[in-house]
Amino acid sequence: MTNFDFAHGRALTRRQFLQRAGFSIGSMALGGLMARDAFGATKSPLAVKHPMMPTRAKRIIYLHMSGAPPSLDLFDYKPKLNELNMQPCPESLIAGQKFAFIKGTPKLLGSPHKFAQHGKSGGWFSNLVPNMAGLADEICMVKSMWTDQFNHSPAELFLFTGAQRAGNASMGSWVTYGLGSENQDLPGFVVLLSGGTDPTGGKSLWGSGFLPSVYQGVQCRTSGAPILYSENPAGMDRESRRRSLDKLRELNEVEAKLYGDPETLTRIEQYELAYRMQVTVPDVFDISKEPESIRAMYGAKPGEGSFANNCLLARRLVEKGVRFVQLFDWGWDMHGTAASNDLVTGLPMKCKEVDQASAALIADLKQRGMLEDTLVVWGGEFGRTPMNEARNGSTFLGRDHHPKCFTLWMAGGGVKPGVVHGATDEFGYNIVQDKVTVRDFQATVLHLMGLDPYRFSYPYLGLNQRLIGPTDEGQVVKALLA
Amino acid sequence: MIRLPFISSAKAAALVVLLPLAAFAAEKEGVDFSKQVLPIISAKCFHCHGQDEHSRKAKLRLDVREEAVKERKDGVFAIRPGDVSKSELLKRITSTDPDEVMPPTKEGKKVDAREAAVLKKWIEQGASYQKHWSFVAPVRPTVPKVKNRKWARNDIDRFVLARLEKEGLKPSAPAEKSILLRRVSLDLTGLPPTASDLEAFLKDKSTNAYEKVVDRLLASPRYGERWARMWLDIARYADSAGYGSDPLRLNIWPYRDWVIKAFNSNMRFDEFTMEQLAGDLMENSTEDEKVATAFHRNTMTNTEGGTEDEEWRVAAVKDRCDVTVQAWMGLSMGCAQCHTHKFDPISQKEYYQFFAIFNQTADSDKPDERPTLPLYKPAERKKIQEFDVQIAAKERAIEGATPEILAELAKWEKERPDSNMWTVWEPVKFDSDSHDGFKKLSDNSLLATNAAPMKDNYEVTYRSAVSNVSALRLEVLADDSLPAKGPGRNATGNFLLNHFEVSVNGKAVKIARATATFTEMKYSVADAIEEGSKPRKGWSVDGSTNKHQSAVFEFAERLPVGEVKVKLVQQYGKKQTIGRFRISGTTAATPVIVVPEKLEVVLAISAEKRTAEQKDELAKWFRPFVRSISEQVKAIAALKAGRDAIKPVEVPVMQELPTKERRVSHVLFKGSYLAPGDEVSAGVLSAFNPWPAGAPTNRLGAAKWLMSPENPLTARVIANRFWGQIFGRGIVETEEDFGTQGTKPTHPELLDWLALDLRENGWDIKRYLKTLVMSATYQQSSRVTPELLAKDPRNYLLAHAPRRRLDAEFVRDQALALSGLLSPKIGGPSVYPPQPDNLWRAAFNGERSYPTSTGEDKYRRGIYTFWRRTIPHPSMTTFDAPSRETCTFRRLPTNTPLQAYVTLNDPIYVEAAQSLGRRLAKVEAATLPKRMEYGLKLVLCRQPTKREVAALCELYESEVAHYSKAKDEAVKLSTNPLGPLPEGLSPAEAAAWTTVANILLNLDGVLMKG
Repeated sequence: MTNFDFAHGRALTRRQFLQRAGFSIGSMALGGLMARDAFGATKSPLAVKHPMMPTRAKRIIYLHMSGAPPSLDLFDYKPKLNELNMQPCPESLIAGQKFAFIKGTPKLLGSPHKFAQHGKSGGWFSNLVPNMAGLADEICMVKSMWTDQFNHSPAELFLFTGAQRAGNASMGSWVTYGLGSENQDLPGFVVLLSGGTDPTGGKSLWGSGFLPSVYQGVQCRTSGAPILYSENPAGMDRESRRRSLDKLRELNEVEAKLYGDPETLTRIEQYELAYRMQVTVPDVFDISKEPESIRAMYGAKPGEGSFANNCLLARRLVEKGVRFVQLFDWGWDMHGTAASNDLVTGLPMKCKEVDQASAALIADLKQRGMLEDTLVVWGGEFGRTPMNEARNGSTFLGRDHHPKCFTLWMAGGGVKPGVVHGATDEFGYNIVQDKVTVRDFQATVLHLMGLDPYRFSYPYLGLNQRLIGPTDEGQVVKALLA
Repeated sequence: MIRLPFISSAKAAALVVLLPLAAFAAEKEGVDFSKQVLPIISAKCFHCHGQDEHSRKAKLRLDVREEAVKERKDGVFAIRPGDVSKSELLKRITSTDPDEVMPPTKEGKKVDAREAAVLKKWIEQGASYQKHWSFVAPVRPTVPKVKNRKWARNDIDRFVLARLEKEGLKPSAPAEKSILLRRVSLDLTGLPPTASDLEAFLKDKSTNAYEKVVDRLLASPRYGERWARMWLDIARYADSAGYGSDPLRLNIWPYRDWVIKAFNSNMRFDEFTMEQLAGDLMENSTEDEKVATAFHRNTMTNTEGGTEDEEWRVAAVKDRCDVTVQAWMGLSMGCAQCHTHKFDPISQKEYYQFFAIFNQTADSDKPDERPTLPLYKPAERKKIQEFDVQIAAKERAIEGATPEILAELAKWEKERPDSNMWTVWEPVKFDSDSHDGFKKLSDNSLLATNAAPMKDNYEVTYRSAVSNVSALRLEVLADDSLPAKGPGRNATGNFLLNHFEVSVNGKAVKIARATATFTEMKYSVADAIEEGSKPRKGWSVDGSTNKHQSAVFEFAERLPVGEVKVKLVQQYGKKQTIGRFRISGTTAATPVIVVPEKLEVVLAISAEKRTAEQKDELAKWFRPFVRSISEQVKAIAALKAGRDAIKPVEVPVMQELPTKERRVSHVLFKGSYLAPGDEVSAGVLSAFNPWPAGAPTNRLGAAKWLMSPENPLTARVIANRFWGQIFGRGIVETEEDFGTQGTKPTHPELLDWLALDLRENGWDIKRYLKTLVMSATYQQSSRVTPELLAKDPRNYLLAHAPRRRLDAEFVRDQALALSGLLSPKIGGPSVYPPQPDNLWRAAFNGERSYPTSTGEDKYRRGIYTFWRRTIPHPSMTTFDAPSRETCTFRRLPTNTPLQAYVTLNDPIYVEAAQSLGRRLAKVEAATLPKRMEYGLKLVLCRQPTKREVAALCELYESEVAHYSKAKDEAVKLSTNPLGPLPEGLSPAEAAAWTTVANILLNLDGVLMKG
């Protein structure tokens, strides 16, 4: 019994029915069946399931900086690069390499920003992320991330679904599929976007792929109704909706009696849940209910679609039992083709938008005692070159796509705090120590969630599909585990 | 058996006992290798002990009998036929020692007790091997004998009944007539019956009343739309290219219409296959056949900046291979692109041989989706013909060397200004996108000195001191430093000037005419002054490079004194930019034209000595400049412009590369396009039927191979797919996987019977579907008894008709149909039904404005809804419609609260409720209960119970009371968005009716097909 096996949504809802029918329409002839039902725990596809292995992390908040932030200007300090600023890049580094935009022999680019060491652990941070720097002893910095994709859309798809082509199940779908969710009145996997543009990989980044679509991420909006179509039609109030749903239930119960289909009872339940969610969801999304001090801590302002608001919402959502909250913040593609995406103007702007809130999220989770069982991840989809891109002779400083190394950090549930893992060479071009591939990272995240990355699979197209892909090359990075 | 996650095997064992289904029984008889043994060993052992030698452990192969039974070392056998105690395999799978047990604990594939028992019996019985069931061609089975002679209506029923009788079960009673009508209408056309359809059917007491309905539905144009819905998931049809900015693909919808038409005209399925896979390669292929090949142009295109076209072209070709084999043969080959398939008999080499068949088309991940087929509507085609007739007539009138033309030519020749009329201008500033270095030469020309960029734009600034410049001359000059002496910078010295723009003192000036000494065939210097620049049009001199050429641009009005900026746009790519050039100005009288180089020779001959041909040639050239016929010339130009304004839809199609450009295919190491291995030639999968004799080695041959009577899979897969649509589940439940990992058929003989029935009757889909829906099996009631639910909870045995949720498109279509809003319009560009604002936010400035449809297009069937891959219409995805980024064979229906939101609150469903409500308010009925009865009967197609009628009456009463006190709300609920109420209906009543209709459209019985 190692594989999940319910390619058949129906099977599940029937079990659900068998469970529920006993008390909801016990008088029906079908009720007699219940006594013989030996099924155990499963109530709804999103009901809590026990992890495969003992674990600390119960939920995830994933902060993704879509476009790939330049680690060399935030976390990965390279004095040598500063020394060689604007010197031609050594041919040995770039011989035979492909870049998205760089042509010819580029020039090395030091960071225009100041770095310092922080905390007892002495981690390096640039002055663009002072609040994150304050977390030096809380977080686990992985400086040796590696991917094999160097265009945004495929790289994001690879990171979140395990395949560079769209159509596979996303990390959030996998986790919700494996663990269910603790609050049946809220979606189990919530997606929040900021930065004004969807991430490059699009909706597939939270798609359920071959998994039942009940596990796909529910993109919630921060203005208007959080969930599409959740508001009653204009002119219909909640009492009127209640009255009509009562009648709908009556009619559907007749249908259930006539045809004996368990699915009908599931539907009745889903309409009731929809009705409850009309209150529970807007309630969670109403950040004006937070004390002023907490809002100030994040820099959140009610009514905005900002990253800060989304961080605060993420905390509110996991507090209510949501399993996976995925944030995407767009605008990190620092090519240096204009001031808005260069290292001198654009990058500090983006950092200002996320630094305070990212740090506040960790601190807030900690003060609520939730950090120890909440895994927080912060990162991008690939790295950026130690060379100035200078596309078409641009005079703005920027870096091209670079898959060979990048930094991301994790904190909380089951992760070792105050650790710097892996290292890159003096240019920040190649990894020289403890390479962590995207597959390793995926394996580690699943492991932290109590899901065995190798055995956790779903049968589709004749294969046991897994987040970590068909081969066992992905390894759980033990050094990161607390 | 239904497996549950994380429950102990003891519990799981209990489950098996609880489900007394015979599907897994038969252990008392001989063990069937392909049905019982192969599924176990392929799932649990082949990963390391299968045909893939790279992943093979301990040099042990269990997929081939000779290897499996071989003596391994002294007296040790993996399998010793007939001798369980000597068979190491059995020891290892039952071992409790973690270091011994197979498969290794890490694999998480433990062989359970039941499976071990099967393997034990199999070895005892001699461990015989057979081919996997679906890899053996079907043979016509004997139709079984049944006890109940009366029930069966056709042979399908005899197979189903025989199995039911074996299990001691009885089929269900026939469905009520009205319910059956709804079921068959939804199944065949995707729409519910109308009130009059229902009335007519109930009245018709003839014995073939039902058959008449079936025939009517099969002939309905709605039939094609319904079945296209199924096929478009497989074709991964969408209206955008996918990835990143997900550009809109506004030119692919003719393929969707082709599919609808193919189903409606009942195209044979083999023909349907051939046209889609290789329509372009068929003899004298028609336009329709070429449009069909867009099937494989539904692959995604990656337009993100910095992507390698070749990488994504290869990805698209792989997708085509995978989809082809999956759609027709039900095999997933995808994994064979990296390594030999671990379970099914497809080697990596074979994968790339199959790949080689599809690797010869001209498309290459280009943003403009070329190659495309220009497609005109019949009316447009007619219009173009009319234009051509008129143009020809007008041209004929001024054709040849008429006296008027010759007179003006003579005059022009006499006054012809000499080359002294041009004054070379000195550039004061030069700028280019590539920042490429240009140096100014002493003759005031500019010469490129750096590495040539792929594309470029130049901007040169001049100071003009003359007040009445009438034209500029652009000289492109040969130079020894340029490739092939130039004047262009590509290898042959060519360039393509897309656009020539001039501004004076910051203001753009209009250029009236452009002429050149030489222009490459199919190009025109006039395109360089058309509005808007196009990267594939303009002035090009291929055919006369390596020497000076010039083009003259005559202004509509003479230029004032000031700063003149000249911009040269050159965006074709491939270094097609100008290497050396200079600009001169003139104040000469118009027309200022340049003589084509080939005519200079003719002009050098004195007029009286020219031959008739030479005169004709000169006249033809000079005609546009002749004042006395300028009106006619203008009229012709206007007609031509009118003709050219009729723009075709450019449908992306498959187009085979010409012989000299054919690609060489290789095995790709780990599937990477950067790691080619051995060269391979085109071939089909060897484990199945051979390449059909005489078939060409290309896509057409591959299509014939798929449809060959020797192919063991295609007929089964296709028969099963249509069966799945009608019966809610395939006989092989994993419709997409007929390989060793797929589920076994519930009725194997029936499947073979169906496959042969379909194939041997000319692949006639309508006939096949009719056979299915005419069966007694199909016509059963969908009522479930506790006994059946206990014995066969998933209804594998078909003792009753299935009850299944409608697909996303049909949920929408039905609401629109019942409310009377549905548009019957077939085909055409996709439409944009309303959706919440600001959903389109694709990256890289992807299209963000959603052009919401108005009028009839707001109410079209779901199949016409614009399908953007990264963000399909939210109401569709909520009801499990896929993104169409990859192909989908089965939609797994879910049941979630978000679906309730759609059908309760999405404005289109609210509008449908308003419309249906008004319809009910208008019904001629004596009493409120009668109206409710009418409404319930309309949506459910059955006689409602008293309780149902009463519940709705109560709802109506309570809402009238509520909205009588809340007038503004009543108006909103009943008119937004449908519009003002008809006369005689009060807002309170209308709001109450809207509420009632809203509930009617959300009834379980309405959202289900039963």
